[in-house]
Amino acid sequence: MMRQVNMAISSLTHAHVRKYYATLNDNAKLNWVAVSCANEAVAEDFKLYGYDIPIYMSTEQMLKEHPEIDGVVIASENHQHFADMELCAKYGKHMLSMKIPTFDLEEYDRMIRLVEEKDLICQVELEMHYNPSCRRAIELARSGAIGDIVSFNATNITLSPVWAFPWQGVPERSYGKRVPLREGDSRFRGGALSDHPHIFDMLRWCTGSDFDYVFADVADNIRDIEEEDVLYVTGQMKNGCKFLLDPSWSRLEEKIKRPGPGWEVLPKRMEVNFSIVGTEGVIQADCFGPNVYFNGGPNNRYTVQYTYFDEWIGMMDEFHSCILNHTQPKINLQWHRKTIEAMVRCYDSIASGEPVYIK
Amino acid sequence: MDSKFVPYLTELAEKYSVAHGLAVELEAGAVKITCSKGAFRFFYDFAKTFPQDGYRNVPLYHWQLKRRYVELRNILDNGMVVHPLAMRIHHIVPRDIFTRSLKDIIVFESNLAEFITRQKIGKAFSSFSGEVYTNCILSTDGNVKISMELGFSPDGSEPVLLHEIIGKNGLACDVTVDTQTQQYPIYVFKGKETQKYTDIDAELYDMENTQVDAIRFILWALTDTSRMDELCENYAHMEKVYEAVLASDRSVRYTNVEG
Repeated sequence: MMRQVNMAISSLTHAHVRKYYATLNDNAKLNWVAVSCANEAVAEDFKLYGYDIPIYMSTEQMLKEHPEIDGVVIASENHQHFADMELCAKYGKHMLSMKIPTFDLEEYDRMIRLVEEKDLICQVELEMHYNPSCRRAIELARSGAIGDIVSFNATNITLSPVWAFPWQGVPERSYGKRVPLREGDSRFRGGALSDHPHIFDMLRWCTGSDFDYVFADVADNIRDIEEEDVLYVTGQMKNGCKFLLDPSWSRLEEKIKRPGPGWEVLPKRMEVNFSIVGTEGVIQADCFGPNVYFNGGPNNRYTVQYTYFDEWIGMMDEFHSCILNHTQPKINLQWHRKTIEAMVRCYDSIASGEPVYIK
Repeated sequence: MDSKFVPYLTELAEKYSVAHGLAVELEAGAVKITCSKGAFRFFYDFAKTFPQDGYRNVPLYHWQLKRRYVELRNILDNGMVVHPLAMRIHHIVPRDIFTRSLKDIIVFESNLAEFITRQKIGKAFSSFSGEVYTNCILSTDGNVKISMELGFSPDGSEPVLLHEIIGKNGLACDVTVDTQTQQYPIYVFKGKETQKYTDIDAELYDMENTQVDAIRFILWALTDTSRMDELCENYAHMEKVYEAVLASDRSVRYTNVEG
């Protein structure tokens, strides 16, 4: 039988953490050893899921008590990631980072050095790579099915998680520091853009190129929050391919504290759609559709019930394989840095009102 | 144009007493009308320069009479969706008589965005791929941000069309949730080929939808000729929007619309 990889999850405060519960519980390649919780409320919430997993109130304590742990899912708030990585590196643990390791590019480089110096595996959670519709669309485009790619357009539009995961509405905890969106604007970096790196990453995979320049503009807010919630991004890749991205929180939500049925107001709470324009045709792709639909509980609204294949299965399979074979994953810290830098430059573009070129 | 275009237009002008003695002449990119209210050239080829020859040149904004766009505007006007903040537009279609150049699409969608939001475009950022495709981000005088994906697809392709308005309390859209393509009222499945029918106007039955909209628009404009002044004034503004879009592509700057 294939060796199991011993896994732990830290903090449990990231919006995606629920996805790991099911995957670590179900995948026989993974042995779920323990969790650490950021606070008592998180611990109480975790207990409600009914998993028989030891709970620690300190990540370091968990790592001391369980030397058998191979890898840690760092499921903490963005501003906490570097400290968690330092801890994992200290104890020689491989890491699965959330989708935003950090927006501080100097700190990001320190993360890269930490991982390299300790010869650890660090995979970044960009689960769309394991979405079959996404994979097919990118494969088609790259294989020349629509000729040369003229423009890659994508949406990653969702409801806002800030009511269920309040840290995402706090600039210091989401973006890492309090940076005004632009002069005279009362809002700060850290909102919808900070939540949606996937389409920036997919753009790079699809075009096989990196960002030449980005231009972004932000709308007035839907919500009374401190960060941006609707924005558009356009620009050009170094190979001349154009792009237009919508990473907004433009779908309304109920202000509930625990994600679940009835969270969405619009029937579809999350979309990732591609419109890839080529010299010989257009690819339209909906990575989360079609689905099934219902109305009824809890709010008697017409609602999309998703049917897509769980991307976390493939992602955790890769992490398992990388640890066993000691290979770096497809989405590693080095690769992902250019995606993060492009997102930071989008904020810079919003601040300046001009496009920002990326060296 | 469909062979029914002229008879239908004449018949409805008579039926609703829009104008008397209506004579219609079709020319490339325009419909020439002579009637009791004057002589007008309703042009829909926005890349072409039409002569100053005794006909008043009036832009044919056929989309302003398309029911789905009128209802999007009504949703805002009636306060169902309030305080528009942003708008997403996709318009990637094969060429046809109403869509010959990128300028046709840019004028169509810029004017439609202004029509629906009742705001004026004041700033443009654009990035072109030759004469076939452009991405734009526009900003209105009321700070609505508009993203546009505009271009041409090969002949026979399904159109990619989407108009979504994001408001403070919700959104309005002409594409239903969880779909990516246009929906039609009638499909006929017969082996490899699927036939679609788009009949939506009982008075103008069996006509292509944009031609239906064009007839409705001409009738609407003729009903009150003061509307011609507003249309011509708006077209001058649309030319400025187009110039700003082109200038932005050249300079790679967020460019103000003059005027």
